[in-house]
Amino acid sequence: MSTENKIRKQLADNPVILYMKGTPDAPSCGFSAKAAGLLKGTGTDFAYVNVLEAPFIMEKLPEVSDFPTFPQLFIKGEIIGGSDIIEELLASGELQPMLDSATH
Amino acid sequence: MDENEIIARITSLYADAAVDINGADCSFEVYVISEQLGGKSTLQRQRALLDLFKDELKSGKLHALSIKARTPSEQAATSGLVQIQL
Repeated sequence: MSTENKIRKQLADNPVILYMKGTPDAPSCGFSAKAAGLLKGTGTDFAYVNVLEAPFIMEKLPEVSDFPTFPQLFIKGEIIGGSDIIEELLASGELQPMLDSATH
Repeated sequence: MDENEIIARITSLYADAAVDINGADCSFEVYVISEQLGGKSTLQRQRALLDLFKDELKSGKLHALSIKARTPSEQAATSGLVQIQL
């Protein structure tokens, strides 16, 4: 399976997925730590990919999502953005309903 | 990366932008306030601004770039402060 198809399958299989550096419990970058921490705080179950262990995905995903940096959050296969956007959508109250509708 | 270079790139895209910047070398926090951000989603704003630094983000010259982008009226609503254009 090509890397792009692998990514598309991950997006199709997981309603909430975070591509991050490190893991939610051991993030390797401040932005990934923030994104994972905010998501955990919502009480939503989410899938994650540690892109540091998946170099092909790290290389390919920015092209697929048209978003240049990590972390990257997807809900129902749609790019939401990185930690700045997660923070803003959470503060504005928009994120929780998006997560709820994706996981229920 | 030099902070004046960062500001110059942002104002080349949004000429009216007020830019506040914290950080040094490869790690910056940037606040952008511009009328031209109106009608754009948070994702569209982020994409447009990050695109200005695509090469540096790819090469690692810029490792960490946090961007908060608002219109003047959104900024006024969040901070209770009104920016006066000089």
